[in-house]
This record gives sequence, structure tokens and C-alpha cells, in this order.
Amino acid sequence: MSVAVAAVALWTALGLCAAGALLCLLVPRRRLSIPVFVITTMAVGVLLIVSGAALLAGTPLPEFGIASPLPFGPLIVQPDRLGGFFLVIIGLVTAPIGLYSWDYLGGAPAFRYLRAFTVLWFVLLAALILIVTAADAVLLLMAWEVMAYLSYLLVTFEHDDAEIAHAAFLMLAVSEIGTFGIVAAFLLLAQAGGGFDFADLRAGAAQLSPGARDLVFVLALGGFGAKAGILPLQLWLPEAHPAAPSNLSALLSAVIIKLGIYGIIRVTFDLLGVGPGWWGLLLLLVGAITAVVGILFATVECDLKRILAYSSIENIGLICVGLGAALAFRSAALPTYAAIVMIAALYHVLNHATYKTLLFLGAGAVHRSTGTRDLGQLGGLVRLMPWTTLCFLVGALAIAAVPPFNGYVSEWMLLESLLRTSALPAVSARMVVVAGAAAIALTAGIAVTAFVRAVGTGFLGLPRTRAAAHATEVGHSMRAAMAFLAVACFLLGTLPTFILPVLNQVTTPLFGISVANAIVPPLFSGKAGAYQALVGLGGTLFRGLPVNGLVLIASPKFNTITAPSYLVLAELLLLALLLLVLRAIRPQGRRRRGPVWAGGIPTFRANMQYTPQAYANPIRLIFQGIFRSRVQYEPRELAAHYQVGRIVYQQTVPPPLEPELYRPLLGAVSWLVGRARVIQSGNVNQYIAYIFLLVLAILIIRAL
Amino acid sequence: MVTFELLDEPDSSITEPSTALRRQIQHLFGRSLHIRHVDAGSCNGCESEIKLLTSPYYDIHRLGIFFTTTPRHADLLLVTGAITRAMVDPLQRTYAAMPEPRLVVATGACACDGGIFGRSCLTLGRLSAILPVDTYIPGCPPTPLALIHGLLLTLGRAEQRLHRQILAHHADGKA
Amino acid sequence: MELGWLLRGWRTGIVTTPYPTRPDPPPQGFRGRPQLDGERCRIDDGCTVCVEVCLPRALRLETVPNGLDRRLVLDLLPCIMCGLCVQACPTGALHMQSDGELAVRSPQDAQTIVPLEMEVSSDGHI
Ligand code: SF4
Ligand code: SF4
Ligand code: SF4
Repeated sequence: MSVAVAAVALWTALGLCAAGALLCLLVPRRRLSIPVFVITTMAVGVLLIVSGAALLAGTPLPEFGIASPLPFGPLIVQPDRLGGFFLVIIGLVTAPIGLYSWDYLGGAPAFRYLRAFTVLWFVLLAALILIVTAADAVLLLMAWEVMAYLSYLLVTFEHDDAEIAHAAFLMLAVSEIGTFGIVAAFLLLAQAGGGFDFADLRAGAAQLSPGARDLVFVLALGGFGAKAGILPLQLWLPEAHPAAPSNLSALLSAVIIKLGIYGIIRVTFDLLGVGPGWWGLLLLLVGAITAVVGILFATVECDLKRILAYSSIENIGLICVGLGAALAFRSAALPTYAAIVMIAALYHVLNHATYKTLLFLGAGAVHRSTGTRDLGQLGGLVRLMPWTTLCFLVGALAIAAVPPFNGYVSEWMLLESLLRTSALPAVSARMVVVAGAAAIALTAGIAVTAFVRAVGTGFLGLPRTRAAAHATEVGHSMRAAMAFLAVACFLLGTLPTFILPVLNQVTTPLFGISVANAIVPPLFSGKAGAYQALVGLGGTLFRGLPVNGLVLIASPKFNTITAPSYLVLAELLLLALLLLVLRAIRPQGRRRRGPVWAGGIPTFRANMQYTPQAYANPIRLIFQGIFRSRVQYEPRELAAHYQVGRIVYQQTVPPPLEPELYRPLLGAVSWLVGRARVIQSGNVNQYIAYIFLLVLAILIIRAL
Repeated sequence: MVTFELLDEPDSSITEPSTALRRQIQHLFGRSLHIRHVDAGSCNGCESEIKLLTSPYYDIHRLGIFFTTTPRHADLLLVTGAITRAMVDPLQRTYAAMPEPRLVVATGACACDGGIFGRSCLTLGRLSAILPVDTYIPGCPPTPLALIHGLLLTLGRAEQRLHRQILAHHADGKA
Repeated sequence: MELGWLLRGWRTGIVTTPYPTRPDPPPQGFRGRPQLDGERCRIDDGCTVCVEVCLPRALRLETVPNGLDRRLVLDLLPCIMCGLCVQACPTGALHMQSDGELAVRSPQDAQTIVPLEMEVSSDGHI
């Protein structure tokens, strides 16, 4: 049953993508093409959720081969549960984006190149679907390249300015460098396995020598990691995300970089099989560094979308820490822990997709309504755009891992499961994993700062510019899309006991072990078994509710529990208690409303507020070793010694690794290219001479 | 926002805190007091004495008294100067920004009753015209010891020495 | 270096005033506040020398609320402790005191008053 549902939904979605592209191409009028775009995108999203959910519930779909003229055999589509999980994510992201686009594309200022955007959008969606459903390296690579080029084209759309063209080109360049790695990894596997479908690749992996397998791992990590944005290949992310239109940057950040994660999981967990312990530790270290660097740069950045882009890098880092720990646990033959930490990482993938889409849509609404994304020019939006502010706030709370929103659950699970590192045999491995846990804790702490800053300076206080002062609330469809995602963040944060067993479906085939009952103990069904001791902790208290409320991370030495659904009740109770206490200690309830203290001067002006730069300054100073910011200060003195006419104070934070890695690299490449140019004179006679010499050389070699 | 009427004559009902309030103030601030100082048109003589309070010799921190920069954290408003009209509004804003209960101390002859400036088109001539004053510290400028005494008197940690004196006539008066 | 600093502190001892616990007498010749001696004041005889020299009008003649009687008031609140009145007083009824604890809670407490009943002549002149 579920197989049929999944298949029908999947193929209908693909068909709708084709139909949508065609309709958008043919529809002559803007007024018509937007409804077509919105309805088709939403329908595709819903179908993908249905199909993915059916896949997660049931068995993998039967193999479906597409005849191809290429010499690699038929292209195979066969989504399994991992693919189904990512289908759900694509659907969950595209459905609200479609709704959002109604007002976003339709409203003023008019969106240029609308037709090309809508057509390419559907092709991109189809490519995304094929990437996660392909069971064949050739199809995956083809869809992957289509995705890379289309996202390049779509990013370059909204403006023609040089910066955006550069950003898009950078994105394409990094993506292509990554593709080299991916192709090389697949070729190594395919050569050993004698074919390109995944079954052949798995067989090939088993035959490869350990050294070759290590090479495949590193190549795949670098290749897919370039798309995911792990250090040191994160360069394109903060450039491309702000350049793209907001509905696309939401898709970029929530889905496309996650496909890098999908690739890493697919190759390392599925195709390659169990590897040495250092694989996991490498991935974990890279992830930890990525997370810390990402969130630090998010904290000092002033462009709202770049903040979100850097925070995407951070979240990718967190996910990689989880994946790395899962690899390490698996190599140490601890499948239970591996599955638990993998579930945590997948949960984080899901959570990040929801709240980052929400935040990008919120940032897009702000940009639409004020014309700027610079925090230093915003402010006061809470009064002018209350809905957008509320939704953005929910997203910010979620990403800052504040209960009862969803970031909390996955980060807690990640952290807790990393602390099970004492089970690892090697002391050095334990230390690396613990360092990863410390990095996650640090990241979570700084993330709070980053998003307090984003919300506080961007939405609260007084408007800093006229543009911000004249902002108006965005249209209904944009608000509805954001509200939907905000509710999703809340539900994912409060009902993890429903989500975790589903994620367990994904990890069960990967590790050959089901941990659903371990993470969500069945306290309420009366079969508590090993967790009988927990019943007293509150299991019986809520016996009336039909829900397993506790999320448990167990180990022989210590168990840790959280109960996000009850946390909501607890928070409400605490709030009530707080109000009561306040009443009690201030019985007279005397309250005075006064003006804001502005140093005694009559009006509080917007430029007296804390600026985003000032708010981030402590972080910038403490981590100066990482930021390497440059400060340029020049007072321009007038004739009289004391009179300073103008002061220039400029503070620049170069992108991470830019001066250390990319500058020298680029320098080296252009040096090499300069040398190579010697043979390129542009003179035809000289080229004919080259050919002649080559032929001569070949003849001589043949003759010898 | 709290506004104040400009009172021509000090109203003793607001200038004199009740005994109950005094007890509460002593209880609350007895060992820890934060001062916000506002210069409302002083010649800076008073300031130079106030500054000495934190020097090693006078060191009011040993008494649990501190200066703070924002009225939001202050318990006591220490005002110097002859209350120029330009400073009336900032002064009232400062007072409004202070949490209750709050104390006000007029420092120096100027803030107490005009001093050498007196009332004029530019000055109100005394702090009690706009704020309820708890303690007056006369002197031009008051010495740091006098300031310490005034602050401790405000907190109920020192005794008031001066009292209203009505002197009898000299011996050969018309009794 | 830190040791030297410690030693210096040790040798210097306590410099802080003992003031609220024990009195800290002012230096010789300190001009505290004017003190009025009602026994010697000749205000009744029409002497107003001090009232004339006092710049901030800390010494003033006031009409008592009944509208008839007047009184000499020495009000320490506006007094700038200049001592001019002391030099001017012909009878030595004023002298400077050196005490410093002048703070008051109520303005009235800073006043010294010499009541003065005027002999009013039949035509209303003094
Ligand atoms: S009281 Fe004297 S020292 Fe203080 S401000 Fe007035 S004139 Fe200056
Ligand atoms: S000058 Fe001396 S005697 Fe004359 S009124 Fe003044 S205090 Fe009295
Ligand atoms: S000391 Fe100076 S200010 Fe004070 S009462 Fe005498 S003359 Fe007036």
C-alpha cells in the first residue's frame, strides 16, 4: 500500500515539475504565471512529503530503470528510506516557499526575468528530487550538475551587478571543484565494482584496498562537503545566499547544501561500509571547526542574509559533528550509539531545514519591505511588521536552541550522545569526540548572542533609517508561509517522541539496529521493561496522556532524559509562578511608566541605540585571532590643531580563511597561468609548428 | 512620564519624607547606596570636593556609598549648582528615570538656596523648587567631610547637628 | 616589584580619615560657619551692618507673617561662609565656627533667628 502511495506521489511530483516548467514557459502573462508557479510548487511539495512519509513507513520502492543512450547502462531511480527522508525535507521546504512566492514574486518591485526564473525553478526541483532518489551514480551526477548550473543561473537573476555575478560564479566554481572529487570517488568505486548502480558500488567498495577506500572517503567528503559548505570550502556560501532572491536562498540553504550532507551519508554510511576510526574523527573535527567559525562570523556580520548564511555553515558543522561521531561509533562496533547520534544529526537536518527556511523567508520579507538587509539600517520593525517579527523571532529562538522550539531537541541530543564517548576504546578518539562536544556547546552559546543581536538590532528599538521607518507588513501569503514554518518549528520541538521513531526508520538499515525503544522508552504502554526505573520519574504522572513523553539517551553508566512536550507545560507553570512571585514581592503593585533614559536629553534618537557592530564587538575582540579584522582609523585634521573635520573609522573582517588560504592559492594559480601563457602567442604559424613537432615526436617514439 | 509642577515655595509635604519612608530608606540603603550626581549649573567648586570623596583620604566606598553613571541604578540624586533653567528638564528626566524609593540631596549653597547666584532669569535658585529634597548640605563648597555627614544623615547613620535657633533678646530688651 | 609596593603600603599605613567613627578636626584657622550671638547683637538699635555686607542674603531682615514684627535671620543654606559679616559687625556678635557637620533635613533647621519687636509710632513710622 505505502509502496504504491510513495511511487504514485513521487512520479506525480516529477510530472508536475515538468508540467509546471512547460506551463510557465507557455503562459504569456505575468498575472497568470505566478498562480501556476505557486500552485504547482505547493503541489509538488505536498506530494513529496506524502511520498517521503510513505517511504519512511514502508519498504524501499522497486527499482525503476530509465533507458539512456549513454554507455553506462540504464539510469536507475529507486528511493530508499534515506532518500525518502530527504524527499520530506524538500517537500517541507518547497511547499511554504511556493506559498510565499505568491506575494513575493507578484508584489512590487516587479521581479525581472520572471518567466525564466519560474521555468528553471521547476527543472531545479526535478533535479533535487532525482538526486535523492537516484540509485545510480551516473543519474546522481547528472542531476547534481543540473542542480549546480541551475542554481548558478537562478542566483544571477535578480540583479546584473558585478558583485552578484561574482558571487554566483564563485558558487559554481566551488561546486565544480567539488564535482571533481565526487566523480573521482564514484569512478574508483565503479571501477572496482564493474558498474555504476549503487549495488555495484557497494560491491566495489568491499573489494577496494584500505588505502583506496580512504581515498574514496576523503574525495567524497571534499566533494560533497564543498556543496554543504564545510571548511575550507565554505567561501561561496555567504556570497551566494544574499545574492539570490529570498525564496531561492531559502531553498539553497535549507535543501541544496543539505544534499551535500545527503551525499556524505550516502557514500560513507551506505556505499563504503565500515571504515577505520579516523574517518569519523576527521569528519567530526572538520565539523567542529566549521561550526565554531561559522557562528563566529555570523555574530559579527551585519547583512541579515549573510548572518543566516554563516549560521547555515555553523549548522552544517553541527550536523557533520554528529555524522562524524556516528562514523566513529560505528567503527568501534557500537551501533546503538552510532544510530542514536545519527538520529540526532538527521533531526538536526530536519530542524535546520525548517527554521532556516523560516529565517530566510523572514529576511526576504524585511528586504522586500525596507529595501535593505543591513542590520545597521533596520530597527523598530516589531511595531511595523509584527507578524514578520514574531515569525523571525520563533526562527531565531529555534536556531538558538531555546526550548520549546526544535533546535533545542536536536542540539541536546547531539550533545548528550557525544558525551557517550567514554564507550570508545581509544583514548585519543574519546578526546576528539569530547572536543567536538565542547565545540557544540560553545557554538550553542555564541548562537544565542548572534540571534539576540539579529533580532534585537534588526527588529526592536527605533528605526535607524527612513526606509525602516516606512516599512509595512508584507502580504498575506508571505505571512502564512512564515507562520506555517513557525508552527512546524514549535511542533518539531515539542513532539520529538513522534519524530524520533520515524528517523529511526532511516538509520535502521544503515546500522542494522533499531533504537526507537531506547530513545523513546514505551513508558506508557506498560511494557517499560529495562526502563522501569524511569516510570517513577514521571511516567505514571502523565499516564492519562497517550504519548511517550521522554527522550532518553542511555548508557551503562548514566542516562539522560529530556521531555520537550512536558517542558512546554513546565515553562508555562514557571511563568505563572514567576508572575505570582512578582505579585507577592510587590504587593502594592506600584508601577511608574517613564521615558527611556537618554542621558537627560529630551528625545531618544535612533542613533543613540546600540549598533550591531558595537553589540558584536566583545566577540570580535575576544576571537580576534580568528577574525583578523583590520581597523583603519584616520582623523582628518583641519587647520586648527583641535578641530577634527571628519573621522574615518573602518573595520573590515575578511571572510574566514580568505587571507590565509584563498589569496595565496589564487596567487599561485595566476602565477602558473602566467607562465603557461608563454606558449600562447596567438600566432597561427606557431601553433602549426607545435602540431608538427608533436607529430614528429610521436613518430620518433613509435620508431624507437 | 512623571512631570513636576514648578513650585514657587517649597511645599513641606513633599520636602519632608515621612518617618515610615525614612525607616524604609534606612533599611534599604543603610549599607549600600548608589549616587547619581547632576551638575545643574555649578561653578565646579562643589564638583572638586565631590571628586575628593573617592580619594584614598575620604574613601566613601568604605561606607558602602558609590557613584554610578546611570540614574537607572541610582538611589540618590546629588545635585549641585543654582539649577539653571536649561537643566530643569534634564534634572527632572533624571529623577523620573530613578527607581523608587529615591533620595535627593541638594549640595552647596547654590542648590540649597541660590548661593551667590540666587534666583534670576536664568536660575531657579534652589533645588527644592522642582524636586522634593531630603537633605541640604550647605557650604560653598561643602567640605568632603560635610558631604559625608550629609550623606550619612540622609541614610540615618549620622545625627543632625544644626537646629532652628530662636535667640532671646539681650538682657536689657523690652521684656 | 609587587613586594616594594606592598612595603610602601605597609610603611604608609592608613591614610583614610577616621571621620564618621571619630571626629576629624579641621586645620587651624578653618572658616566653618558664622555664629550669631543674640546677647551682643544690636539689631534693636537699628544696626544692619551685617545685612548690608552679606552678598547672598544669608543674613536678612524678614517680616514675620503677622505683618508687623520683624526679625533678623541668619540662614546657613545660602551662606557662602565668606566671613564678611564677622569683620563688619561692630559689636562682635558674629564669629566664625569651625564645625563642618552642617547638613540639615529641613531648611528651617539651618536658620538662626533674632526676633525684633519694633516700636511703631502713631503715624506708622518706625
Ligand atoms: S555652592 Fe559654591 S562651590 Fe558650589 S557650585 Fe555654588 S558657588 Fe560653586
Ligand atoms: S552687625 Fe552685628 S550687631 Fe549689627 S545686626 Fe549684625 S550681628 Fe547684630
Ligand atoms: S559668612 Fe558671608 S555669606 Fe555668610 S552670612 Fe556672613 S557675610 Fe553672609
